[in-house]
Parts: sequence; C-alpha cells; structure tokens
Amino acid sequence: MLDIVGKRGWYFLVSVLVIVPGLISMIIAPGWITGDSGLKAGIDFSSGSVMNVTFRQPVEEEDIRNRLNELGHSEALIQRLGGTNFFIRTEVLKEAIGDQPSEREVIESSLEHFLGMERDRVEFDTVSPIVAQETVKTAFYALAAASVFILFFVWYAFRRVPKAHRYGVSAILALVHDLLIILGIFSILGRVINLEVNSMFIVGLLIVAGYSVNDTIVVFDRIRENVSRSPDRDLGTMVNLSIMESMGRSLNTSITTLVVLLAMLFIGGNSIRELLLVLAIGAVVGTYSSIFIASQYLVMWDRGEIGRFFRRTPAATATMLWHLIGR
Amino acid sequence: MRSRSIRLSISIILILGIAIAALGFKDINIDIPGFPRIERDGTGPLGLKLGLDLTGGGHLVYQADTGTKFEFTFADEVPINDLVTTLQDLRFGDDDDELEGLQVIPISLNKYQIRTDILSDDDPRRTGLNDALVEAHGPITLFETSVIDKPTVDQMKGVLDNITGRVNRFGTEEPIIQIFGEDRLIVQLPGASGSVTEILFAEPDPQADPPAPEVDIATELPRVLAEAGYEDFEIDVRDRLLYRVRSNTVSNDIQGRALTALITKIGPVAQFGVTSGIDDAKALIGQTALLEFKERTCSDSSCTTFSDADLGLTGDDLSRAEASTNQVGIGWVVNLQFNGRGSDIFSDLTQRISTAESQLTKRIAIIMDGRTLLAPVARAWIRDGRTVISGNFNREEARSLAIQIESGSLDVPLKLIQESDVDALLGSESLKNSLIAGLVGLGLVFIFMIIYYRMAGVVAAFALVFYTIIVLAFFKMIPITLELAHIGGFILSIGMAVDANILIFERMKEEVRIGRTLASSMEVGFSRAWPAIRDSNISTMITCLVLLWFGDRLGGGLVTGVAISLFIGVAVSMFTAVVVSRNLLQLMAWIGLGGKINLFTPESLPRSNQEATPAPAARGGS
Repeated sequence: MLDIVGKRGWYFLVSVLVIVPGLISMIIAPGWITGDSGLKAGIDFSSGSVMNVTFRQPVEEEDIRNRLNELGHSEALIQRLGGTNFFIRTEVLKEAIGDQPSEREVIESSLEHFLGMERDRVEFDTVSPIVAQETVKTAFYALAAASVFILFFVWYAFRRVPKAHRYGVSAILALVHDLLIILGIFSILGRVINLEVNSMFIVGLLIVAGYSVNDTIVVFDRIRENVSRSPDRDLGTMVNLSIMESMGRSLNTSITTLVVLLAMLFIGGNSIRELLLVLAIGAVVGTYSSIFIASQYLVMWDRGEIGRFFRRTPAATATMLWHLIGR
Repeated sequence: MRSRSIRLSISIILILGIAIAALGFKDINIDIPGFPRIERDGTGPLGLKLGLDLTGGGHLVYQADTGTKFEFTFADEVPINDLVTTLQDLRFGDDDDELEGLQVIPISLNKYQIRTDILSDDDPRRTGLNDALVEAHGPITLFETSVIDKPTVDQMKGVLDNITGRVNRFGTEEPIIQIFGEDRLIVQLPGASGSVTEILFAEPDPQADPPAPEVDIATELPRVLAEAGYEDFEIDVRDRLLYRVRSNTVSNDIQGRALTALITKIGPVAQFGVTSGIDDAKALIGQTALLEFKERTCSDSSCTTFSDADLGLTGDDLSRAEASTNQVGIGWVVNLQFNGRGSDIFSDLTQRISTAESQLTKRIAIIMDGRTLLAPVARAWIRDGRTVISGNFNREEARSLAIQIESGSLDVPLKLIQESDVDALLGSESLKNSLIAGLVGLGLVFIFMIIYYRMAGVVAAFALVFYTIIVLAFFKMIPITLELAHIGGFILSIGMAVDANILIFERMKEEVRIGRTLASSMEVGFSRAWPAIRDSNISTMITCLVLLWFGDRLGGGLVTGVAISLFIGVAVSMFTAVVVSRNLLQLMAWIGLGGKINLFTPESLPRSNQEATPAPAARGGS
C-alpha cells in the first residue's frame, strides 16, 4: 500500500509554495498594507462611467462590443434600451492627458464613425458600483461565522472518536487553505494578466467553501469508521488506510465535477468563465486538501509534530516568553 | 421490506409527477380560499424567473425631486381648477418670471401643496406668492415654505440603501441599483417589462353634425401608435371599439402623445388605461414613504374641511409594519406597532379623542407623502401601541406599503424621469453556449458513470435527471430569480449529487469484493455510505444557513442567492441518492438482475459470488 502519510511534510511544503507567493501578492501594495483587497476589482465593485447612446441606424449589441473590445474595454456591459438606444457601462474613463484625447472622446468618435452614433444625443455620467463593498464584507463575515458552526458540528458528529475537536479544526484548516490558494491565484493573475474579479468570484468562493468542507468530511468519515473499529492502532496507519480506501471515490467525484466544469469552460460563453475557473480550481484544491492537508494535519497533531515545529520558530519563542511574563 | 419499497416507489413517482406538473404548466395560478395564493408566471423557459443577466427587464431612472414646496390653507374652499389657472397666470418681478416646474397637490378642499423648481430666499416668486394668492382667492390661514435642496453624496447613498432594502424585502429579485451622476438613480429590475394599453373608443354620435368621418380603426391605430413612440407592439382586437395593445414599456410622455393623437386622428376615446409590468416596482421604489400621524379637527361630522395638528409622530416611531389579511380574511391590511415613544403619544391621542363628544369632530389622520391614507375616528383608548391601516388593498399593495413603512422614508424625494425596457446583461448567444456546454458536461458524466459502474451508473443517471427536475421545480415554486450564479451553484451541486451516488457504489463494490451477494451488498453499502453523506451534506447546509442569515440581515442579495440555490441542491441531492437511487437498485435486484453481478461492476470477482445466494440480514452502519 502507498505510504501517503509518511510523506506528509512534502504536501505542506507544496501548499506553502503555492500559498506564500499568493499571500505576498495580496499583501504588497496595492494590497492589504495599503488597505486594498489585494485583488483587482472589476466593474461590479468599482465606480464606472455610463453612456446612454442612440444610433441613426439599427445596430447589434455585438457590433458595439467589438468596437469597445478594440478600444480595450472588454469589461463593458452593454444593454439595449429598446430600438437603437443603448446603455453602456464601462470602467471610469480616463480624462485627456496632454495631446491624448480623453477615452470618452475616443469611444464616442469610434461609435459615431463606424456605427453611426448620434453624437449630440449622448448622455454621459459616472455611476456607483453595482455591488456594494458591504456585500463582499458580508460574504467574508458569513464565511467566518459558518466556519465556527462547522467546527462545532464536526466536533459533535465525531464525538465517538477520541479528540473529536481536532477533526473540526483540521476541516477548517483545509477550508482556509483552499480559499487562500484561490485568492492568491487570482491576486497574482490580477497583477500579471490584469484579471479582474467580479461578483461571480464571490459566488464561486462561497460555493467552493461549501464543497471543501463537504469533501473533507467524506474522507474523515472513513477515518472515523476505521478508528472506531480498531481504536488501539496508530492513527497514522488508520489515516493511510482510510485515504487509500476512499481514493477511488475521491478521484471519481472530482473527475465528474471537473468534467462538467471544464466542458462549460471550453465550450460555454465568456459570461461565466470567471465563476467556472474558481469552481474548477476549488474542485481540485478541495479534493487535494482533504487528503493531503486535513488528514495529514490530524496525524501531525496526534504525534505532537505541530508543537515541535513551532517550538523551533521565533513565533513559538515569543509565545513562550509571553507565558513567562504572564506568570 | 418489499411493501415499504413499493410505497416508496409510489411516493417517488408522485413527487416526480408534481415536479413535472409544476414545470410543465408554464403559468400557475392556484387560489384556494384560506391559503396564500400561488401565482407563478416567470418569463423564462418552463416559467422560471430569470435574473437581469439572463433576461431583460425594466430600466428606470429616478432623479432627486428638488424644489421649493409651499403649503397653504385658505379660509374658504378654493376649487383646484381655479387655483391652477391663477398659478399659471402669475408673473413676478421685473422680468415677469413664471413659476417653473409647477405641481399642485390638493390635500383638502381648502388646503394645497405646490411645488416649483428651487427658488432662492429673495426670489420675488417666493416672497410674493402669499400676497398674490390672497389677492386672487381670499385670506390664507397658514402658509409654509420649505426647500428641498440638491442631495448630498451621503443622502444619495442613504436613498440607494433604502431602495435596495425595499426591493430585497419585496422578493428574491436581484435588481441593479446604482447612483448615476450626482442626483440620479438607475434601477434595473429583471423580468418585469412591457406595457398593456387598453383603448376603448367612444360610440360615434349618430346625431353629430357634420357626421364623424368614417375611420378604419384597424388600419389607422398601428400608424398612430407608432408615431407616438410605441415599439414592438401587437394589437389585440377585443371588439369593434375595444383594443388591447401589448408593447414595450411606454413612458408617460408617449402615453400622452398617443392619447392626443388618437382623439384627433381617429375619434373620441372613452377609456385609455396603461398597465405596465413594472407598475408594482414603481409603486414600491419611487414613493418617499414619509408617514405621519396627525390629529385632525373637522368642521362637521362628514369632515369636508379640517385642520391637522402635528403631533411629532411619524414612521420613525414605528418598530414594525407587516401586511396580513383582515379579520374577515378577504382584504389585506397593514399592521403597525409603535415603539415606546410612539406608543405613548398614540395612547395620549386616543385617550383624548375617543370621548363621545370628541368623536364627532376629531380623527386620527394617517398621511403618507402628503396624501391621507386613512382618517379613522378613535373609538377606544389604545394603550398597546398597535394600530391597523386598512383600505381597499390587495396583497401586493399591502406588502408594498408595509415594506415602505418599515424601511423608512427616503431622505430625498424622487421623480421618475426615464422608463424603458432593457435587454439582458449577457447576450442570448452566451447563455445558449453555456446551456449547451452544461448539457455536454452532464452527458459526459453519464457516460463516465455508466462505463465505470455499469447498471448502477444507469441508476445514478436516472437519479440525476430526477434531481434536476426536482431542483428546477423548487426554483420555480419558491420562486427564485435565476441568475448565472445560481446556475453555477446548481452545477456544483450536481457534482455533489454524483458524489453521494459514487460513495454508495464504491461501498457496494467493497462489499461485493469481500463476498456478499449483490442484494446484501446494496443494503450494507447504503448504510455504510450514509454517515458520510449525512454529515458532509449537513455541513454544507450549515454553511448555507449561516450565509442566508447574514445575507438577509445585511442585505447581500448575492450571498442569499448562492446560499438558497446551494441549499436546495444539497438537500435534494441527499434525497435522490438515498431514496431514489436506493429504491431503484432494490427494484433492479428484485426483477432478477441481482444475480448478474457483472452488470454492476466490471471487476472480476471470485466465482462463488456470482451465484445468487439468499441475502443475509443487512448489517447496520457504523
């Protein structure tokens, strides 16, 4: 049988190597240290410009989209308001700098020249974000609160096995791990290829959170069953056995989920690409963390390796000092 | 065992039947007395309600209704027409300025409110109005002036939050509401759009001289409407004189133009009424909803003229407002509960005016945005701070009123300046592609499951179809306004639904491997897989409930939407895996497939297992 538990140090190393660059990208300016989110906010979360335009002849939404894409505004939301009247939301358009005309000017003349927009009937103004910042905060507070509830639920559900609270803590650890990886990846992509996050990203994160814990508990259930059957055996051996026994299921489930998501990602329209990307990363990372993070953390905790690890770090020294002063 | 299974099968078929019926009838309208009325008529496929990103809706632009407000009471009654004529003819100052943006709101026969564009303190129109009115219509007993200024950034933010709250409380629709420029607000609502105009022409007068020219209404009507600005309309001829026109949403401007054109080009119109798909929304959003309670003193018992005394009691003094049916159970009312301060004032008021002689002249005036909703006589001393607003309300009106009262009044009054239909945020092409991709993905999952688990895979595929139908039925009946986000949540919950099946089948395979018969492997497999399915799904449902609670409280429509769709998905997936898949497998075992283990697993097995042996009693789960 494959010895998965034996190589547990490596999995943490791999995760750290993925998470740390992402974290750095989230923190450095513009990021958490400057009070920003660390992600590139898309049109849903930021103020923007609105144009209400009318054309002299019939125009398709697609024509306008192509024009705006050419001018570098692929984020534009275009809606027909009936007839040849269109409502276009974009990011805040840049003012004129030196000889360069303002972006508004460029867009208007392009639409006038190619599509016959009526220049003197343009209504232009700024708009507030579609999704309020509060909504995003709500989502994160809610996730934090949900984690606490799940911790206690898992503790309760595993009450028959020794040290049940550790299962709860490990499940939450895996959840935080998954969310950090996704946030990190999107933060880096935002810096590298200008990938913006919109409300779909938040939706994806919430769904992944549900999936991550779900998957972890399935693996834990197997450990619960094996441990209660032979309580005297070493936890590491039991965890390894449980992982091997449930490997078929873990792979099949993530494969089927990925198949649907990838099919939609490649065949489907642009519209939910962002959501699908989050879900696909989430499906992979969620399965990975159930086996290689949550379960291994249980073993490390059981063998006192976490304490030992922290004792070697300055943080642990600080903790010890704190305790000494406290006395 | 067997009879239980048959009972189960029948219930499953029943549930499936109900779900298919719920989806199959596009429009559902069930009205059983004593129960809340069920009405589902979404515009999407299967009668589902679609969100703004998938379907179009109504596009409304509001502007802060700034201006100067005058309120005055004449000593005698003044007919409104006379007053309007006077006001329109008034000229002030050296430049003969007229009152711009004039609106006249009658409050009673001698009491009026008028609004104009903003006038500065020393504007002759503002300083001279009182005198001009006294000159034209006699003495004025009370004259008040107030100015509604251009809103500040914070005020607009407050209005945005308030309206978002109102719409969120009204239903699970996901509007887009944005502050537009400095003093405007864009509101886009899904689904609701389009207008129905009903036109009833008057019977031509046979005695008319000269006789009315013969006009062929059927050919003339489309031309006149198109000229007035109607788009994409279709005309339904009810009879010779009655026409019903379905069209895009028509603004008040277009309606006015159409009516004038109809009268001049076709003939006298007896009735002209426009109902719009966003009428409900407009009633909900645009109202300032400033609720005031005043002590009304009437001049006589029928209360044709009266004066109101301010008590300092407003909607802010309420702790709750909710709609319910009235005691008879036919009409709808709004129940109000005052807070501590409000209860005290209301108690004083009712004690004071509920005496027999007061009842002749005193009333409680409940006034919303300057209009009297209700002015009842107080028949008893009300000490618990509860009261009821009754009227000729239907359910929507009562709910809308209750929501407006509860979310408080807007800091800035709004007026509707633009109204039109709007297309979906995402092109129909991209929606179609996503749907096709989803189906392809689902097909691939079926193929994978069937290759890997054989007959059990077929069962899982059937269970997934069942799952999809039930979930869609829930989406329709709750109802949930479906956005792309919900579809995303739905896809991932398909993954979870498959997971439950995979868990069961893997456990079954393990049991087959250690030498059980198929029938007993099924039983044991199910009971072994159950704790994992139960606990993992409960944890996801806990997440959803917490999200729902937060979303509800902090007004995050986005968060609520995800939580609801994921919760439904997980709950139904648990049901399909444990009840539907299990029952199907059992049925298969009984119809004789049970002996053919090869049909269920591709793995080669020890020879002895392949013959059906009597099933040993199923062992319970861990």
